Amino acid sequence: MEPNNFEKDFREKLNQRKIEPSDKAWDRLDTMLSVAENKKPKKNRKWLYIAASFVGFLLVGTFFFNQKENTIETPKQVVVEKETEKEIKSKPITKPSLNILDSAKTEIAVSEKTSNETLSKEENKLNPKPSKITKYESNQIAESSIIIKKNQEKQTINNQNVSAENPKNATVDQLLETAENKVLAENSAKPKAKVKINASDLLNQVDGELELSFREKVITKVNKNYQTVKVALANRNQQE
Amino acid sequence: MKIIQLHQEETKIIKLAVENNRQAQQQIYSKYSSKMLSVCRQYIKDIQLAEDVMITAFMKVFTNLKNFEHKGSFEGWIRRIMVNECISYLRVQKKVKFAEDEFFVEESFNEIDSQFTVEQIQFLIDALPDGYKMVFNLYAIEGYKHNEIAKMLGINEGTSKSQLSHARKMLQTQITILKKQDNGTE
Repeated sequence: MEPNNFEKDFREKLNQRKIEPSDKAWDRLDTMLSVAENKKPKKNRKWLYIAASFVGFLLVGTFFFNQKENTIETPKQVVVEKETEKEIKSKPITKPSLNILDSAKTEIAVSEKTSNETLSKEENKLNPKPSKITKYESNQIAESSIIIKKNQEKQTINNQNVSAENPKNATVDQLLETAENKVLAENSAKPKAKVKINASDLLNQVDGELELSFREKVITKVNKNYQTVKVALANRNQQE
Repeated sequence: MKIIQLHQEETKIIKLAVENNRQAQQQIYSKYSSKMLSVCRQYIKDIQLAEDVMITAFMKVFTNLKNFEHKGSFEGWIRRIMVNECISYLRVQKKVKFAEDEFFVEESFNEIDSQFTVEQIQFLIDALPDGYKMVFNLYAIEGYKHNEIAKMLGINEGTSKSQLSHARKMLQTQITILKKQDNGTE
């Protein structure tokens, strides 16, 4: 199958032939090349992303590896701690909580009692003295006794009204007493409010404190264990 | 000396073109584009399509320029890329299929002494079916061997041979017709 003569002729003539491409051809190639060039940096960025993610995975991997080393030894203690936690939780929830409730109730009761007592004392304090005043006043003015009786009624109903209306007939002692009464009333009123909050909030507070202490315990224990593992690893590395 | 200098210049330009120097790329393009369009035209009848194929082939030339080992001729390397691009265009776009017959006759056409112009030669080649055309171009014009052509086209060596023999037969008849016409006009 030797090349024929006419084929030689074909080859020579075709190889010598030149066809000039259109002027647009280079422009098209130029734009294609510039497009390809713009694509290249993106490829590089892709590689960067891949490298970055690889480094990230390495970091995460090493972090988890270190964590695993810690957690290998911790579970035993975690169990113990859980038990202690259970003990802690069970005790305060079953018995102490009741106690707390009881104590709260008693506190409420006591405080109520005290408040009642203080109130009654106030009334006692308030009532006899204004009556004394009224006695003096009744000696002085007969009509005023009626007003004071009204005052007395008002006083027994409202302490504030007493303090408000007293100044009308007030002497220096009266003013002092009313002031004292105000203070006392405020003091007696405050414990009531406190007690109301205590009932629900105390439990939460105690729980929160327990949890906090538990957390602290866990953290300290984990830290201790971590330190021991660290030391052990360091020793092993040194030995190696 | 001149040839060595030219060669050195070319390697310089190629190096610059590898670094996406547009001027160097344009230099290479303007040096070889007319020849390469001629090559593409051998395979593709439509000059516009031939130009399209040439442009994509040049894209491949520039993107793979860093892979060019300065061993063979640079023109030959570009030419091979062009031929491959033309073949893949014909196979993918035109879905050329080769009849798997392995019938071929070894005939010699030495007695045919053609005195055709390039246009006439191109006309004769254009008249061939795409399968025949490819094998004929690769074998007779590019100088590939049958086993190489078989690999390039993904066909049997026998098929390549039979395609060539069919192409030659067809060309022979065409040439005789042309000659008769020429004689008639003369």
